[in-house]
Amino acid sequence: VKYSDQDLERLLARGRLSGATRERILARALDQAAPSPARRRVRLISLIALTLAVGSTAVVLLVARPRLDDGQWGAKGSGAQAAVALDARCSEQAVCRAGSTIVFSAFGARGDGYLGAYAQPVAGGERIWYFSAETDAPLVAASARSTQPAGRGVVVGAEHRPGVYQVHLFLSSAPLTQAVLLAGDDPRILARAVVPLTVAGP
Amino acid sequence: MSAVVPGFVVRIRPEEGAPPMEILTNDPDLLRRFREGDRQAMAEVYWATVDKVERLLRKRLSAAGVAWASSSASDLEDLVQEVFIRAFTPQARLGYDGLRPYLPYLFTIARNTIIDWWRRRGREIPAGASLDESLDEAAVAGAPDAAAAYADARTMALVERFVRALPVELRSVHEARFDRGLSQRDAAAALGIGRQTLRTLERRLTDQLRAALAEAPAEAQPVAAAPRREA
Repeated sequence: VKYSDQDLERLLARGRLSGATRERILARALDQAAPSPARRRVRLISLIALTLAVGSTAVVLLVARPRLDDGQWGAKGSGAQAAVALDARCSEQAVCRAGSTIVFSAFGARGDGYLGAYAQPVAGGERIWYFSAETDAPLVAASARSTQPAGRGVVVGAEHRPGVYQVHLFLSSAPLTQAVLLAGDDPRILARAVVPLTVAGP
Repeated sequence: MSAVVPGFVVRIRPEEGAPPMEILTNDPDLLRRFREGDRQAMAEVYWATVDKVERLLRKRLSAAGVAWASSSASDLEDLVQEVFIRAFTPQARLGYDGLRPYLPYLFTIARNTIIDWWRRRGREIPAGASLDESLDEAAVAGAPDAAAAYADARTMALVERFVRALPVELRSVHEARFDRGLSQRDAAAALGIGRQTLRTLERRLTDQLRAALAEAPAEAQPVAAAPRREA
């Protein structure tokens, strides 16, 4: 397991926020509330540049726009890259029961990715790991155009006590360990999501 | 309170700066600058209150059943940040009258923030997280922090051993920067050292912890791929 400086800071702070973390929080809060003069200048310049770029593009479009009926003008490809959506659910049922299979899927990923997942009981209790590099991280095919199911599901067993869970899902460019997934800031993580999952009693 | 250790003078003060309950109410100049959006004034308010806000959020989330594992540290960071982003908006700054204590006002912002956070995440607000009960500063400030999980048991044991075995100069830095969460400026002042020296010692701390984690024997790999509960 490779630890980033922030991982180590968090470990050293032992569940609290370190001084460095608090400094980062303050800097970000101040930047939103009252940008420094230098940052205001950067924003102003960016705004001017953006306005000029938009204006120039509009001029080019107006001048160079082909006739609409020439068959060459129009959107091509899939347009802007949509956000990756990750999901976990018991088939089409709203509530899972013992013996149900939790199915995992992804939509919107341009390339293949490895799935990591764990469930955290909302009411407290032990985390249940589904997929990670320690056990198995199924490969999910690129899903830019259609929803792709993961190659593996999870059968709800006795380890799932009845209750509400938050299922944390990760799509990454390589299988990642539990520690890395928990830290959540590895650049190999392509997308992440938290979805609710309810397990009903027998 | 003051403790002297060889090579270092460690001044440990229970409260740094103005007590948060009084901040802004007994300093008209600070109040004026804060309401005008002066960055220095906002920073002053932040450092006087961040510890209480962090503690409140941690306790409320913990009471609501959120296990504080390492993944949740970033959630806590995000929440604290969101509270102060909201508190520093012009509406929130101008909405504070400066007559009543500021901290309950800030706690109200924290309450709204955490409720919104729960809605975004799970769409259900656990009873313990709703902060309906009195947001009494004394209760938050006085209650000791419960020992909470911040990583897996093996890593926590290693970190605890690492901290206990720190030489005195690094232990002082660890206490100031990681236990008490002091700013670099306050930590350097409390330790009686320069900020560059403090940065060097902090770097040494993280490097040594990284080495200690790397040297620890590898954890036994699970044999089954089935879902499992954490040890």
